[in-house]
Amino acid sequence: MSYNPYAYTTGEQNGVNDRFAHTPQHQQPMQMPRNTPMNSQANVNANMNANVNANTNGAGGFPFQDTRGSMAFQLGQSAFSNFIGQDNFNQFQETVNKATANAAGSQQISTYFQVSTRYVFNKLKLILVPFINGTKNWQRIMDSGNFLPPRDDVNSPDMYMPIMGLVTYILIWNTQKGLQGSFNPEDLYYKLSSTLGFVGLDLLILKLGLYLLIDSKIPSFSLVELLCYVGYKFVPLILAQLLTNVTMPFNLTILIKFYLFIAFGVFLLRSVKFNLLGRSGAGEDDIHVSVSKTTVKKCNYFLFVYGFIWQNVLMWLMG
Amino acid sequence: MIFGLGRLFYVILLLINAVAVLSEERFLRRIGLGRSNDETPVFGQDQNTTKSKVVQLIGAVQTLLRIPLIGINVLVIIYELLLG
Repeated sequence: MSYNPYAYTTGEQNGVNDRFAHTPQHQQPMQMPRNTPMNSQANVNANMNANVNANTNGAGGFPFQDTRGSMAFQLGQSAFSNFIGQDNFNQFQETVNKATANAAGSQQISTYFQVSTRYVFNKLKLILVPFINGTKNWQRIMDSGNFLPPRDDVNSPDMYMPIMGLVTYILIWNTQKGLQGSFNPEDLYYKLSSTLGFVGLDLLILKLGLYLLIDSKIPSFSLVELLCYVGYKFVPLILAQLLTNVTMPFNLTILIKFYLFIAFGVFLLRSVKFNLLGRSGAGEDDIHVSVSKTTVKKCNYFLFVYGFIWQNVLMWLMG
Repeated sequence: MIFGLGRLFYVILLLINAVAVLSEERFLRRIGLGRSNDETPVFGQDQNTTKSKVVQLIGAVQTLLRIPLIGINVLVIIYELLLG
């Protein structure tokens, strides 16, 4: 901690400006996920833990009760944190906590598959003609702290369309090859590998950009949701593939392809931008204050470059 | 097929290698990305800037991935020598 000139002036009363007063608030949510998985695990493995506890208690308690042992432990811990760097150590701990919390709630992925025919149709309309969004609303609907599943909310991302799109895209690409008379079963694998490679690269760029731009305390997209948004590009790609079969004047094909990619760029930009910083749980005021204007502006620039320029380049490469 | 999952793996591996070999004293500190000269932010200053994140990321890659990278690089080199 650096020198804080306000520490003694307002410290004893409410201390609104004091940064020390904020530290308990920030630490509390960090410690919560650490406790919950351990508790549930303890309940599940109660029988096994009982044996282990009995053993350790019988052997004279915790091995670091010995003073020399505890000193060595502290020395080792400080040396470890010095070696890695306190920031990295804290970050590592946070990551581990987050990972364990995610593992506990991993069945939440299934909510991204709760789709209905109407949702898929509306979403397709949204991707293909994002300029005439009927409700003019791109934000996801919140219901008691959680987002609604895709079935009830058009703006929610889903995993169904990306996966179906991936399969369809590969099959259609190979069908095209077959129609040209040069079908090769190996192409199924090669195309899958290449497509997954592009998707992975795309996801990497998006995730890295958002990681660097957005404060890690602000809740933002999870990796699955980003994967959804990345995967929607199969819809225009499939249409562009189908387009090559229809005999049309050459320029028209290029124009339609161009329109599809631009429309997808608009869709991606809007749906990511409006949901990027809007989410917040209980401490709404805290979070809204801490999102600065410059962050929003930088995110907009990044999303523009990503959504329009990079997506267009990528889709020309893939299609 | 030019680009695929294998190529993507190579690209990522080489990029991580490139980050891991950056020298702290000779290069990073000179362009202001060294870990030792990160001033703890004063009151009112933004704590999580892009620059501090880059510094953290480079530091994390260098400390966490240096030893695994040796093994992975050796494996890839052997594979390329034998089968590439």
